[in-house]
Amino acid sequence: MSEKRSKLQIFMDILFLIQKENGKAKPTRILYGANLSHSSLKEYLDDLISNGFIEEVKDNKHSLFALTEKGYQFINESRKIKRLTEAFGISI
Amino acid sequence: MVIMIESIPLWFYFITSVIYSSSAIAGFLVSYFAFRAYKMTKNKPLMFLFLSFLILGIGFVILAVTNIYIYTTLEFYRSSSVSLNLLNYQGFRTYYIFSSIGYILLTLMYLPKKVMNKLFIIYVPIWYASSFNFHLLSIVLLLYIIIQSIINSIRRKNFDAYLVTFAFICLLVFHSLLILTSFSQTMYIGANIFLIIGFLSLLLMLIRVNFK
Repeated sequence: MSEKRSKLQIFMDILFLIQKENGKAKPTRILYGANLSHSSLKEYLDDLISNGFIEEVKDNKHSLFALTEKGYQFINESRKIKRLTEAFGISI
Repeated sequence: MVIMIESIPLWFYFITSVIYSSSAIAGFLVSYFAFRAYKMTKNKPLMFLFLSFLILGIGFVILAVTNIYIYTTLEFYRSSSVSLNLLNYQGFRTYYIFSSIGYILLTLMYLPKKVMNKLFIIYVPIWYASSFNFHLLSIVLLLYIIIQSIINSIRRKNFDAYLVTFAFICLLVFHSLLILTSFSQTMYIGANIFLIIGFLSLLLMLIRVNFK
């Protein structure tokens, strides 16, 4: 049975997914990619925006979520943390 | 370790000081990166990782200072009637206490969360007057840590996890050989070689984690 993801883990999943989509992603892509419900997606996106990791941008009337400089830095740090915790077998 | 003071060549105390200092630096580096990760995640096991390597590092600093002290003063004590053993003993005993706390915290890191939450008080055994007791406890704790680390390595199939497991195995060999030092001084030299290999393995893991 897989463990319940922590808030940080979900943040990381969303940010990694946006990065994989060249730094910008549609909410529906995030919804399916990060395996979230509609209500929790909104909550996490709001949290990420208020932390300054992502910003909402308009592209041909579509709403997209783009990574900010702070978001890229967070991804970089969280990758290192992920590798360190995996090396020691710590789940975050 | 205490009994052997006269039988180990003087120059080796200098070498061991370098080994203990290097181990302390590696320990502090692990602690620093674990602290950075803890600050960002507020994850309890990361706090234990940070504290355990910090305390292990302090223990090695104490050991390095003790060995340097022996290195610089042994000739004087040999030519006088004053016994060096008491000072030597205090240095090692302080190391035993720090190191034991470090290993206990590492063990806590691997305990299931439900158990970990109940263990908020860490009992510090004061009966570590005997190096045998200390090494035996270290071996038992390290065995548990190694089993958890092997399980993680098998699950992840990750080279960094193999390096961590290897480092803990080296620490286990270090303590096992130190128990046998009263039989042969080669054990003491061998133990220290395993110690430095273990911490180099942790350093390599840190380099891979941060610069890959």
